[in-house]
Amino acid sequence: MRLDLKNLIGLDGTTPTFAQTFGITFDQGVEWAEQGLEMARQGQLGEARVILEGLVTLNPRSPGYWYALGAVYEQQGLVDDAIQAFTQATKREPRNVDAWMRLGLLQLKGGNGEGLEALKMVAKDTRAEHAELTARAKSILATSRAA
Amino acid sequence: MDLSRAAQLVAGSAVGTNATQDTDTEGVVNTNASKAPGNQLVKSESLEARAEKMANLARNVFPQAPKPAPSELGHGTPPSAADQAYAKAMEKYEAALAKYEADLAAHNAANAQNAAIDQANEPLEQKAAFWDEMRNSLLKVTTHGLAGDAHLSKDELRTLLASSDPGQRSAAEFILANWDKVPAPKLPDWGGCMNTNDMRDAAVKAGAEAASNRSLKQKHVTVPPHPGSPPNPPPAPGTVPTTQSNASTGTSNTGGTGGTSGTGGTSGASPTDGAKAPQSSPDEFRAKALENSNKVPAFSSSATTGEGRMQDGLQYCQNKLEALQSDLASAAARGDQGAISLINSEIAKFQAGLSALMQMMKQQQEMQSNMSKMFNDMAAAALRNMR
Repeated sequence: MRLDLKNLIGLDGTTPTFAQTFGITFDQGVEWAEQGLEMARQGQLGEARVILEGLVTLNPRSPGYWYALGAVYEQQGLVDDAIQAFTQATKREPRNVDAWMRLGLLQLKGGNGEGLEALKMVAKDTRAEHAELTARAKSILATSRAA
Repeated sequence: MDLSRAAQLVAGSAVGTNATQDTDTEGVVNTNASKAPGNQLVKSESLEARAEKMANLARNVFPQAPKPAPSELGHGTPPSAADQAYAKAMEKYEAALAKYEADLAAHNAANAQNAAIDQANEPLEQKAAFWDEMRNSLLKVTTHGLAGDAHLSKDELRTLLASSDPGQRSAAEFILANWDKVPAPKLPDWGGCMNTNDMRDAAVKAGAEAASNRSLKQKHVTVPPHPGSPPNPPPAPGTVPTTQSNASTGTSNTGGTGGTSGTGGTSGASPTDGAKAPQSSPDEFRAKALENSNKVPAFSSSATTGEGRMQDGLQYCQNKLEALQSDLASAAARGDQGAISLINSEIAKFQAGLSALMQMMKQQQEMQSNMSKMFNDMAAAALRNMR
């Protein structure tokens, strides 16, 4: 794993994060994250990863950073790291159906049946803006049941 | 891969005390009932009554134990030495169990108090989830152009309730329903980040208070040692009792052998173990192990930009690492393996953090440098075109 969870200061909530200690604001963090994602859009995945890993180190309790980092890991083919990142994202933001979906698909691709449980979390979502994702998850689940 | 969605989410988002045996200094079964207080009562108790009493005791402790048939009670042999030892062991076990339950109740009460402290402090995770919801709702409102910014009054929100747009209505409902959950309509700290200097200072102060509460809590959370398993029932008729084998050494093996581990337990301890070395509490141990590290002054920075604060933060991490190295040297000189392990884990955390943060800052500086170069090139090209 590129990031060892036990080395992330503040992850468990018992100690302040680096962001809290240094007084890095939410807006500042988002600005940096957007820079990292812009690099990813331009295909500079290595550079984007460095920035997002730094942000997760800065504030490992932020589901948004974990999700963005997972997306970059996934694009780089770092499947285990992506699964860890999406798992953290879903743990910290259980309503993040995008993270559940990606987590589920990655797990299923790796032959891990827990992916179905992740997809069930997507299928349970009733928000209209996620109707497409929900329908896709339901479709995969139905296929898996039929199989 | 939908990176735009990622961007949206980033932005939006026994000792078994062997109760009976290891404290049993007598070691042998006292069969001389007449010397015990209340001996008259013991003498007058019929064998059947004693057998029934023991069976009841066993059923209380082992609910699955079948009730002995009356015929067995009526025709049993007198209680063997093993049975008497069992009854005695059971009494001690029950006393230890009662003490354990009392300690556990005290422990639970302390936990409940700590839970109240936590609730009062409002864990960041819950706060983050709440603020995320709030931000999304506000986003819906602002997207529709009615509110302008996040600082809506209650009256303004009430007017939104009459809106024909369901998105505005639900957002306003949500905010009003949760209005009292936060003291003021400040922007979110969102799980570890702050928005303004004031909030930052408040968070640092809150963090110090929370740490103080945690250290208080730590003093309460030690789970009392379980008295272990109840003593084994007496051996079935026809088997050779093995319960008294160590009687002469001052211990008895009558009871269970341990149960779960717990702090402060004295599994298998005997009076011959002698005095134990005093042990420091986890807080004291940590304070001693990280003595130099704890002396590093708390982080402070006069920088007003995020980049500036990060630079100061990296320096702070380096200071911490140097202090940890000196702590490590001290612990190694003492040969304190526990402290060495603790310090090494702290060093690993700070090294990993420092490395990741330095790389991030370096990456951003390169990017800004590239951007600056790009703008310069564009400006130069524009000037050339103008000429």
